[in-house]
Amino acid sequence: MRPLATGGLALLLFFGLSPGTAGAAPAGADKTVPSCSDCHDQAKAFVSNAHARGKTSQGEVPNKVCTPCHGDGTLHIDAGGDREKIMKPVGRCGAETCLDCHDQTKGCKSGHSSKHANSEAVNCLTCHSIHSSELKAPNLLARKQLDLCGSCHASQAALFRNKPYGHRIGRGGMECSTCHEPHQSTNAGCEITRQTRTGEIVCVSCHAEKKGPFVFPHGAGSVGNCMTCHEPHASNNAHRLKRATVYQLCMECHSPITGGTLGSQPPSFHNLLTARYQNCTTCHTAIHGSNRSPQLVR
Amino acid sequence: MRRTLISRLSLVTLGAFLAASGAKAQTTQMELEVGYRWANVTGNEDMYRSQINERSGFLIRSFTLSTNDPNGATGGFLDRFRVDVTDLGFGVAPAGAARIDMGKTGVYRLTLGYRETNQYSALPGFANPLLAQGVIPGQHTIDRTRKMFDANLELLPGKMITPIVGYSWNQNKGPGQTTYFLGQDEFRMNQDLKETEQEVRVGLGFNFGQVVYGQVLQGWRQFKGTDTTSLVPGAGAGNNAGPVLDQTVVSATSMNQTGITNVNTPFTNVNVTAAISKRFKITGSYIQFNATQDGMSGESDAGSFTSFKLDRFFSGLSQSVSANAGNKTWQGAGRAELGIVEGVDLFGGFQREHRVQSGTSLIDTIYLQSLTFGGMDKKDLEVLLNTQNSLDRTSDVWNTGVSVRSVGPLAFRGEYRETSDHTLMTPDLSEIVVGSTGGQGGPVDRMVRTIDGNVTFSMSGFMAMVAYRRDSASAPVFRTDFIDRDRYRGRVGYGTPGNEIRVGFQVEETNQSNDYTATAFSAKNRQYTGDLEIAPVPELRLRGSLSQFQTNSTVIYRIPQNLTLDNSLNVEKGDAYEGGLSLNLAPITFDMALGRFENRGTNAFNIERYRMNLGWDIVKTAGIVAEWARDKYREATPSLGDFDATRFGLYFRWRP
Repeated sequence: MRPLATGGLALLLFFGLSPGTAGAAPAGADKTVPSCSDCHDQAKAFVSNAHARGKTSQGEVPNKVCTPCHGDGTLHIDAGGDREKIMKPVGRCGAETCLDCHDQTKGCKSGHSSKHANSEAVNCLTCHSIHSSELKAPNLLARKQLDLCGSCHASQAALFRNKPYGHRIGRGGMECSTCHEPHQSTNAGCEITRQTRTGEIVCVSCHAEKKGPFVFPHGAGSVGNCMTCHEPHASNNAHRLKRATVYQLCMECHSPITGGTLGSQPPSFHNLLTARYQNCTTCHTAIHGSNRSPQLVR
Repeated sequence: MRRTLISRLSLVTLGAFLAASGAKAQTTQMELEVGYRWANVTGNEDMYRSQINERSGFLIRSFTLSTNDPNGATGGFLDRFRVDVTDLGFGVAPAGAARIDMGKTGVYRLTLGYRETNQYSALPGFANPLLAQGVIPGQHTIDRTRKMFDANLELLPGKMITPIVGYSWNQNKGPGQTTYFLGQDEFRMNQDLKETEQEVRVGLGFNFGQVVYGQVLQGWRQFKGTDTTSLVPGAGAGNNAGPVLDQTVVSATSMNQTGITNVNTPFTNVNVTAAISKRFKITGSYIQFNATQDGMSGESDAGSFTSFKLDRFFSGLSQSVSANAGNKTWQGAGRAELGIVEGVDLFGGFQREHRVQSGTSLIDTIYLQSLTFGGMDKKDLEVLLNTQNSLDRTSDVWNTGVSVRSVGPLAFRGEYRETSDHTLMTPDLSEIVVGSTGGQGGPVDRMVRTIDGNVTFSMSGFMAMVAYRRDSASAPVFRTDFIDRDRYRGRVGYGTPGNEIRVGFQVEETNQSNDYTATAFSAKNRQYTGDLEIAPVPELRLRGSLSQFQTNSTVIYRIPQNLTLDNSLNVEKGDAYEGGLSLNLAPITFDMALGRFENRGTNAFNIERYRMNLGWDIVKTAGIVAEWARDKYREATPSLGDFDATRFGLYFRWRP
């Protein structure tokens, strides 16, 4: 079935991408106004850029593609290409040009109130390279995501490279932005991580089987969240646990000293000197939730 | 396997076909790397697969094709098409992905995504009561594959009304081993799991003149899971070698379980933004879902077992379970942003989430040929348990803050936030082990007040940033919840205009504590990282980094076997060194990286990683790539997990 579908897609593309008959006049037809690409190779290369979509004609980029960001270039052209007479968006002020169209106040996204709000230190042009994006970098990103994010968040990036149990960032379609929305605001309930379409923690968008609902959910998941027990990025411990041994992780909550906190009941009375009891999940296998065992043993 | 091979090769063939036949008509860029990888592992291969899992075989290392119609949107079904493939192998790569993004400007946009990950875990020290005897791996192992597919079709993008249709599929499937506790013993079980979630969604995006815009989405999600387990042949003796009540009675001859779970979740997701002016925006969002689960399971066991709960021996067990659980949640929020002057924005908002979880379960268990410890009453004993529990939780968040995006070279952001949770739990009596309150039922309340701010300074390539966040909580919910938490983060960096030199230093520290007398929880996490990149000539880039980390946490706990109090200490302490270079002497490119990571904490180990990548474009459109990688993992004690893994890959690169 898949080869058939793929073959069909190939045919669709072959005919779909064929040039139409109702082509517009070439951009360079009116030679009374010079084209930006007469002098700038970047303008020629812009034919494959997302910003030129639907505006190119017979392989040429009309000046109207350049003017929204660079302004009217008449003075620049009349002055023989004087660099002072063309707008060049750089830094925070330059990035305001991006926000003219890409103002992202939508849901939890915001170009103004997020932690990556358009400032001199971090702005649109810090991460996005409008002209010279590499073939392998979608969304006009200036570098690979882990390198890009790691240029400020060096400690977090190093976790993925170094620790033995970690998410495989940069491979298999998993990137920093799989879990984090870089344009996200922290305004009222918005977190630094994404949510699923049902408003749940982003982890369950892949680990779907963990979200239940269960008749007997583990309180750590239903009142806390995945990070109550797991490190989200990478860990020195198996299964990305927060503690080196399973029983240590469990005992720190399930310790009957006083009531009032979840997990202090039920307590553990097992003899931890015995190897059988040093891995709580050997018996409590249904640790994320169960339909038939209040003690999560099946 | 054959279908996988054909479909993946079809994808590459499609790219080649497009590149060859369409290059004249379209603007096409393409790059393909395909080849073979050899992997050689000495030491514990299971541990290697649990951590890295790159194996020998053919691999599409990367494939990117981007093409568009230079005539714009003048004809045809699409004016752009992009496909990205990474690490799709035939059981070779631990994670791979493919993505297609195609469309016609103003008419439609279709994105198709596929991801697969192999999840392998067979660790020596995890769920392993026999580790001291040198038996590895542990008794919990998995070798599963998760495959995910996602399709989104957006019609009339950028127009006033934008219909949206989407479909997602997520499957987790494969074998594993687990354990099952019965009759005062644990038995190794083979497990076969298949879990599939599908989601269909339809919706409308709308944009009325950039003044009111947003999206309404209605979706339906369905989850189906089957879980079958059976006793591992020869594992009937269980883990408990000792006698129970002076009798060696615990053994199993057969154990079989089957569980089926179905979850249906309709959901609604709405967000609307009103841009009252360019500087004043209000957003509202509302999400609700209603997940209902029906679960059935059956179990049949035979052998010789003991139940302390029943004060009986028994020779078998038959159980059937019928369960229902639900999660009904809604979340509503309103947020506002007001730009008071250019570059200065005020923001604030409120969100409430309300969740009701409930569950009922009818559990019918028959203990076959049960016998009292005194040897009386040999008979079947049926136990019926009808459970019912629920959880009702309301979470409120409100916040206000200011974002000053530019005062000369300075930017500042400050925020105050209050998060309050009220949870009422009504557990079933069967859940309550000790007492009726105090951690197993009743209300739980917690409020956290947060102050969060950062200042950045940026000028002439120099950047400095300081961030501070303080959280103060009214009460802990779990024993390891903080009452006070302080986070500090600082970074200074400098980069020359041409990026010839880039240097940075980062400090992070988090201190959290809960000084309740019976808890005395405290945790401190510090990390220092320095990184340097130098490009003495455009063709050469050198890089290096050094980081040190230390995490200490302590909390009082009661030792179960003697009921005395002790401190639970967890320490992570170590260093990471990384270095590398990139050399670009076209047509030859060379990348090299090496790193060493050492943890001298509670779980002490070190890892050495070496990477090399050599590319040679023999002609303009074709070349070869060779990669070499080595990872050495050493544990301090025990050393059953150590491995030394080398991979070598040779790939053909094509850039027509």
